[in-house]
Amino acid sequence: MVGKSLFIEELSVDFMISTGKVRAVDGVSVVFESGKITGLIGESGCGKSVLGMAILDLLPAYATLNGKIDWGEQSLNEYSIRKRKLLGREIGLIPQSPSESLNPSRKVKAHLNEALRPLGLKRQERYKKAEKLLRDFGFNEPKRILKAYPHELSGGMQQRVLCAIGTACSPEWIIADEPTKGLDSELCKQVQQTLQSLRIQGIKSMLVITHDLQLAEDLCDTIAVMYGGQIVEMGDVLHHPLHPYTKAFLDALPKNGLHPISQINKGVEQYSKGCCFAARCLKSRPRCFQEKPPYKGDKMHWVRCFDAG
Amino acid sequence: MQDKAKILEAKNITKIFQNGFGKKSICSLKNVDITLNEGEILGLMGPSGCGKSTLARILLRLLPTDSGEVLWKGEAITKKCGHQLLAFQRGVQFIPQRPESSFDPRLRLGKSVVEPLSFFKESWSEKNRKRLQVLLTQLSISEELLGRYPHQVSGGEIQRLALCRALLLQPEVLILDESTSMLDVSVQAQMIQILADLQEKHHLSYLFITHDRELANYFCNRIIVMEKGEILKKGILQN
Repeated sequence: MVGKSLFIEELSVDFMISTGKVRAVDGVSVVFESGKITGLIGESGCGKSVLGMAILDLLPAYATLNGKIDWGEQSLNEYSIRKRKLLGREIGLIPQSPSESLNPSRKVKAHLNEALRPLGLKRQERYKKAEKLLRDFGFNEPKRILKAYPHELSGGMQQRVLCAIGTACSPEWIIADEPTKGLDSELCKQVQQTLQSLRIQGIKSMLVITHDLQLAEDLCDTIAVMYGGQIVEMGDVLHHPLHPYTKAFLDALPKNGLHPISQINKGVEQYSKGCCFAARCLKSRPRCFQEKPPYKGDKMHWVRCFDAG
Repeated sequence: MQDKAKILEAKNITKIFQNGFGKKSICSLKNVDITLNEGEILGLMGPSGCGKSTLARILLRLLPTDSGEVLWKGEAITKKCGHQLLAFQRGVQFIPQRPESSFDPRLRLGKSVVEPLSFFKESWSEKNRKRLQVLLTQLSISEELLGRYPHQVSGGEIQRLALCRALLLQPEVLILDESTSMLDVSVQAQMIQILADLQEKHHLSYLFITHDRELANYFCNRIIVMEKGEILKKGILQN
């Protein structure tokens, strides 16, 4: 095994808003192993993107972060110039919504130029590297694309440009945040191929945040399921789901009958003493509301539920 | 299905967009015919850029056509304007893919939800208040959300609020343009369940635009597949 893994221990993220404190990530302890593509799935608002942004230190100023994030032996907790240099070069980001992530008034050339600046290359070398990057991501006419504005590209092309920007400095890790959100099946396939091609280009470790279960199944080596700010299960969850939430989430797929998950989500804060899914779980017992469920299973597949396993 | 009355029709619709100061013409729709019957869920499928959303906008009279006409309950509305269109505008409502873009970011959601009533010169009466209460219950929307701003609610919540705003006008047709594609599977399932319940209760007709084949197969009575501005297939989709 090469490269550094991401170690997260008891990570919590709180947001202070006008109505009070909202806990987006609640005591997450997990290891994202290097050399693997890990999927992070879960419903909207469960804290997937916040967890990704916490790793990259891209949270807004009003967020409070507690807990530990280590990249190999290096701590990512505290702000330092060294850490700032690391982000982008060692850990890259492919953000969600390409149309919103690219500056509409700047050409693709300007975007890539900016992304390549940390490498300290000369202008001409940067241009050549940008051309090569675009060619690697399936553009046959990179010169034309470099001169194009984002609105002149299709959704799939914009996504590929974002992939090129995210991988410009050949990082060891990539965090891809909802790379297929709102794209049609044809474009989803294109994005999936693009992400798969990152492996060929030497980026072996990836955290793919998505609610597209098809993408997770086709692309990822292991999948973590997040609910109410906590990771409730990790492993081969799509074929052997153990947690009641994972089962309910899979039941909501059209091929499984589109069954919505029972009851309204009552928030993380209310049941932070016990299991985060207890309020909506059909099998919950008084114990589920009072105690945090233990980790059950092994390194390959674990679950946090009193009943599972 | 054949016996049901036609509620919304598009006949021989062609739409050409001019690109690059008239240098290039792009034919977005080519002689498209589509019929939505009363109480029917009609699926409209196709890849990005095939003209689905353009057709929806033409049906809503948000875009003019180059040829062909749109009929509302058998009456051509393509050349009508102003107050002649009021019944149609109230009867056909639209739920976009990104509902957050259709809410004013400076207005609280409660104000945005009741705003269309003023367009139809309706006052904020007891009757409307009761109707809103019923809709909030049906759509599982907490009243507290109405005091928030659009950026303070989740994707599923804002989608339900957009649906609530449309239903407050008691429409007969809902045009849902990729309304569930931005939602995760659990919220999507909840939304589809709500739409199915509402359709049964209010006998609504839906034009359901989607690129999710499985979802269209599950939810729609009839499906139309488009490609490059033309209708490729009509009927029940199998594979």
